[in-house]
Amino acid sequence: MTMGQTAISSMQTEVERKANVNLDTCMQCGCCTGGCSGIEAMDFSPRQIIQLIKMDEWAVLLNSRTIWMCVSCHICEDRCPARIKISSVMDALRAIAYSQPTAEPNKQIHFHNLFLGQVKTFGRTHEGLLMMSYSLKAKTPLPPMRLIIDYLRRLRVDMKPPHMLGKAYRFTIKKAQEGGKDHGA
Amino acid sequence: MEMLNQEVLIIGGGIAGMQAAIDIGASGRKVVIAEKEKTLGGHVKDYTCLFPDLSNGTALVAQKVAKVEAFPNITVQLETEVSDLERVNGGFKASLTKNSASETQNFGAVVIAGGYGNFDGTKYGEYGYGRYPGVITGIEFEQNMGEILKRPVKTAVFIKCVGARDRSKGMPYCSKVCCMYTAKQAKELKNAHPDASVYVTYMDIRANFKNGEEFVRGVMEEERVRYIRGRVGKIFPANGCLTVRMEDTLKGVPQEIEADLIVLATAMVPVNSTNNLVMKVGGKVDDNGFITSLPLAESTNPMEVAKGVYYAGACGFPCDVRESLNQGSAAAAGVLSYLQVNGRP
Repeated sequence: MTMGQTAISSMQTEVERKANVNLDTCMQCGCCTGGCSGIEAMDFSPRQIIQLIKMDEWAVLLNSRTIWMCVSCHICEDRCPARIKISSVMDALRAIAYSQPTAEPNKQIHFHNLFLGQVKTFGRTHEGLLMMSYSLKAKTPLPPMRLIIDYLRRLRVDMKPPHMLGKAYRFTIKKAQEGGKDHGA
Repeated sequence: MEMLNQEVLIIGGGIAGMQAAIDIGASGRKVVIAEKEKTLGGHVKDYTCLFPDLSNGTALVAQKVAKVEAFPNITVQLETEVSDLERVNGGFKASLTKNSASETQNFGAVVIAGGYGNFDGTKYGEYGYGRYPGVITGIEFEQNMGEILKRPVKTAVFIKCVGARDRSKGMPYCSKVCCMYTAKQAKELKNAHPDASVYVTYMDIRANFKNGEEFVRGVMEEERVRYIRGRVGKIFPANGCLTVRMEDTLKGVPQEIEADLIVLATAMVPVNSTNNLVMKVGGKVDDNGFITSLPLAESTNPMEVAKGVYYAGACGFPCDVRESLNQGSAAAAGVLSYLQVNGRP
């Protein structure tokens, strides 16, 4: 397939601006993957993600699991011989994926929305509520009964009603929402 | 006008400094070699085997030392450091310090052959050098080759670019010789343990030496050393041996190799001991700490650092033994023509 590839892809320009990095310093050495703590859950390694950005593969990138599975542990960033801020690149990609109007909201985006929504409402997450609302929203089944019983018996999930917010916190959240920009970038 | 002193000071008695001394000494001029170690020969005297022709470095040094000692006009000052160097009347005044007693001497020209240092492997915490006895550096492999080849080795991994091509460690340059010496060491290990699996992890193979490409291909094709493209992420102990975790970037999947010997191909780093001397006589040092020659269009000799000052060997940039010898000879030619032209009233 031939395509009119410009020297710098539009994806690259956008990610570089958002994350304040220069992706052309990447030598494709794979040191990031070697240390990555979430690599088992990823479909593309961080090294491949950088190459995909350079090759302007929007569809592949925005549907990849990798950008959501990155736990931002910064090990890759610490070891990268080219000093690329890979965690910031992942953040930028998540922000782009989130703000894509055409992008089908996937499970990860649902989870992020629910999680942040709970933090905004209750000041913290409530595991029981989060689990249930996520199951409804993302149309995934609840965890198996045996796990639910285990959660309850070992108090892994808080069964108390959600925490109620103080006045100061509500005020902070309100202010943050008024002046808040799109999260992530 | 005063006659320029015809004596030449050579800082460093490694292979490059000795070659320069031999070539200058043959003209009958007096030469002083200031060497800070107890013996001549620098790093090369520890190398029993040089790439790509597998000749013996120790024997090469012995031959050069014999030649140096055969010249009555070459003085070797061991355990001596040049503590100060300044320009005086067109020549140079140097303070040679030995056992904290220093004496000054005048010279007409100076050759700087300060050599190089080895990258400190402990700067890569994730490779565990210094913590795990199975992790050694390439230089240690070279120095204790007999003992290491006797170890029972089932799987060995050579890791290239340790301290090279790494901006986050402040080492952006390619150390140039590591690809070749790693291939050579892998070949030696494979010869000692034909049943062992030997892996080399690389980012790019840079074998830009005469017969270098053929040598590396031979190591892959005949010795069956497995080259894996990728930079190692971490090394951790598991099941009684060391596990190397990396991405095979050609397969695109993370990979773990269990090894009992890991050799870090550490880079050549500049020694900063001669840098202040270079700057004092008007020479320049680049961002990495290596001595820089004058721009080619402005100099009369490629090894010229400043008027009457020349460099040779790895104090300018990482280079192999043959190139060090070439540079030593080139610096000697520069010194001789400089003294010939400027030494007369």
